[in-house]
Amino acid sequence: MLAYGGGDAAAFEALYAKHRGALFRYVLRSVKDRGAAEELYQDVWMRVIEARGRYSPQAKFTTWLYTIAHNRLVDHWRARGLNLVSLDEDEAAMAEPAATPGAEPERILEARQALDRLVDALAALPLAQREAFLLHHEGDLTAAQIAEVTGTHEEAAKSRLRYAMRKLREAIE
Amino acid sequence: MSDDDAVERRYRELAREEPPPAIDAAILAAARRRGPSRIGRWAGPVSIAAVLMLGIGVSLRMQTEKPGVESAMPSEYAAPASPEYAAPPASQLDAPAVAAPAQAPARQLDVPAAAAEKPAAAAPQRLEKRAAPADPARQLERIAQLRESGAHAEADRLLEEFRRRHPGFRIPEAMWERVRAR
Repeated sequence: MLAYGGGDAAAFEALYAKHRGALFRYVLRSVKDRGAAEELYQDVWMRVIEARGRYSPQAKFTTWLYTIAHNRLVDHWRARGLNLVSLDEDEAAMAEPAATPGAEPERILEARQALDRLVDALAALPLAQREAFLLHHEGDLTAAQIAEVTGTHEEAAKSRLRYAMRKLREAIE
Repeated sequence: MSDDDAVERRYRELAREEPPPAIDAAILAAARRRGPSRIGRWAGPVSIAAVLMLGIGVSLRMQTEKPGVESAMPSEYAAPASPEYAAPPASQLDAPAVAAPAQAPARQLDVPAAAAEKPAAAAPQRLEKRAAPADPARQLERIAQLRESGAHAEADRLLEEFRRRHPGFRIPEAMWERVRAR
């Protein structure tokens, strides 16, 4: 990123190639609409380009990139009237067994049905848990980095990740 | 294989979406068009120059506003590097502070005696105003004003910077309506 800030366009292309797929899937799975996802995704990269002179060498690029993406998503969610205070509401409900659609006891061997359930379960996760899952599995961020990106504490990030994995496990079993 | 591994494996099968080629092309074209960041290249020298200018400007202000310091005002307000400001004449530095209004140089006689106290009081306020607002509320107010004046690009930039500096800050709803992107 520093090289790109200094004028090396090839450096940006290398960064873009490395992060494009993961960042796209993170944005895509954070919003309901593919059109909105594509627009947001492009907007995030435009902000990266505009901010090239302000990139701090002390910040890991991945953390910086996903912070920009997270903040852009927050703007998007707010614009749609989402109450961000309720991001973690479902964590209180996890104290009791969750009655999710995919919790039937029978084992389904068809891989496509398991994937379908995973898709549905991922979409059904509370925003904060889904985001923690995506930042970990797409962005390859640790809990500490997830906390930094989302402006929360490491323990909260770990907790969200744990709850997300638990719900997804139940969905594909 | 652990249960978490199973989730990961399934997710890897699922996660194959990629951005459309048209978006890739648009982003890469924008990156090439922007070229090198002037900020990035000249950040160091510009920062040093800015700090020097600010420091000199503040010093000059304090000399002209502090009561009792009777420095001779030049006929023209010279650039900060002017030698006239380098060392005020010693005789003026020795002037008694208590009689400042009566003994003020010709330029300052235009200021009423009652107002002579104001510069000292105003100086800290002016200094405070020039300092970069670290208060999140002030930063948000500035962004809101930019938004209201139609300077959306600058507002977007400052909002992004604000989020970077204060990632956990919850913007009140009323303020959010004023600063959010249009």
